[in-house]
Amino acid sequence: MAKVLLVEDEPIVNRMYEKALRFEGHEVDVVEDGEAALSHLESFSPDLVLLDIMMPKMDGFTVLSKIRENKKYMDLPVVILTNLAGAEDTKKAMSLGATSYLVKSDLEPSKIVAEIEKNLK
Amino acid sequence: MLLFRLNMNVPAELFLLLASALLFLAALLVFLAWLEHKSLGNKENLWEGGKKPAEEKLNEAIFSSIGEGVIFVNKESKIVFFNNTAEKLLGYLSIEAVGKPFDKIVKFKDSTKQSLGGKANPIAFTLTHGKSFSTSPKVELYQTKKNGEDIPISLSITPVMVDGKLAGTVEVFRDITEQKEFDRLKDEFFSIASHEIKTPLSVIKGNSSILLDYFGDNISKDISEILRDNYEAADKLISMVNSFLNISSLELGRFTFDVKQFNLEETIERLINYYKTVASSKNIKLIYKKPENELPKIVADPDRVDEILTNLIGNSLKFTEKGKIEIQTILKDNFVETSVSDTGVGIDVKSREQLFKKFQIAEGRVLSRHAGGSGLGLYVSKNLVEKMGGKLYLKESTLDKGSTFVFTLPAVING
Repeated sequence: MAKVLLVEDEPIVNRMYEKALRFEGHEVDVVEDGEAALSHLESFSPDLVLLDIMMPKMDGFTVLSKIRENKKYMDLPVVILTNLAGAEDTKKAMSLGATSYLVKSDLEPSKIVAEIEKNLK
Repeated sequence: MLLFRLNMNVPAELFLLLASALLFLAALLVFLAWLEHKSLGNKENLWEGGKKPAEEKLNEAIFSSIGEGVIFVNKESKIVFFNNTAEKLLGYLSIEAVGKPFDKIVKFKDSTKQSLGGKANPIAFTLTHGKSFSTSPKVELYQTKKNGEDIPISLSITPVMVDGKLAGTVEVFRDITEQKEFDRLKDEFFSIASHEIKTPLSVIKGNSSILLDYFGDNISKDISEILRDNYEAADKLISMVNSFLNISSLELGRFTFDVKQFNLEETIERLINYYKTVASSKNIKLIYKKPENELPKIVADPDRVDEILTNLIGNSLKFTEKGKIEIQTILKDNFVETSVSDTGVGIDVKSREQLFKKFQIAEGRVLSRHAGGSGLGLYVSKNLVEKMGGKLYLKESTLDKGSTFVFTLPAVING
């Protein structure tokens, strides 16, 4: 069992991933914008962050770079989960320190759960 | 008695018939003469005061007022004629332009806004080779105004022949700024709408899979069937939207290609492995036939090649009920030619023409039963291959015997 911070602004989407993760026995904290993600990072202290890119208030790229700025979170797995499929976006996220980059479309919840568990080692 | 009467009657009737035919003919002649006279009269009345202006003056007036820009350049490369619309579109006055070498006034840029100077100027091309040139959705051009601004144009440049000899060339062009802006907005709307459709579809698909994965054992057969159908329906729609997105980025030129040198055979073998289960469940053999000599690497985007092969193999699987699907590669004129042949239903002649157009699924009674998919796969694949410098085409097809599709991609040739 792991603690997963799920950052995703679309309720129907985050409810789906929340269930998929919970049914696999993980504890999930859901937030819907970048600023909340940073504050919950402290209070929830997750084992992994599942991070969307296009969000209100603060986008995922900014959240990611702020996470990596803090030495405490240097090794925290951050999995990007986005609709942005362009090579440029992938490169940008990886250079900012993302652990892996997933494109939402066509990704079934089970595949996302598998990817998360792979990155929890 | 009867005979006599008959004999008498026949000539009388014939005479009557002849007379009426002659009368009709005469009336017709009079009518034609009147018509001729009327139209002659009309021609004369076409002009004010019944007098036609001098041919030369008339022609110039017509060309001047045409709604498209018209520029005539003579054989000595000098501008001879520059009409009102050309003045409006380019900002030069006719008196400024006429007499000047055309390349001082008529300047073109290609779709990447690279200047087309010297021999690359399409007017120079036409003057040198005596051949026409025109823009198309694939060949975009800009023309530079006097103030330096570039406007997108559609044009045709045609050699003008007088007594069989090249006298010069005429450019007819029009500003397509508004049309381009409209196309851009349309494509952008399309692309945004597709994204907005994809999210809820992924949720329907994803939630169906969650229910099946975690509650599949506790639900009735009917409910599980409903969930499976929902899952498949959403899946189908998602792949359709993906094709839409591919098309709009292809057409917007936003498609990025990550071109590398790589081994095509590895891709083919991986895909064969992937499709093996589906193929064997239909009792179809899926084979890769290697060339005799070692195949060189190709220069292309591996992900796109994956997409193209997936589409061709997927189509073959969809339309083949028995037999085999064979993939073959050969090196031919610095290109690697890959063919995908099947022993499927084949494509009728009527459908062949439509095959590579948008939204086409093979028609005909035989095929419609099997038809599925978005009808976009071949259109997208062909576009992708062409963008990477190759060709994709239907090599042959026989009804009930099968089809062979071929695509080519540039090979890495050393030395």
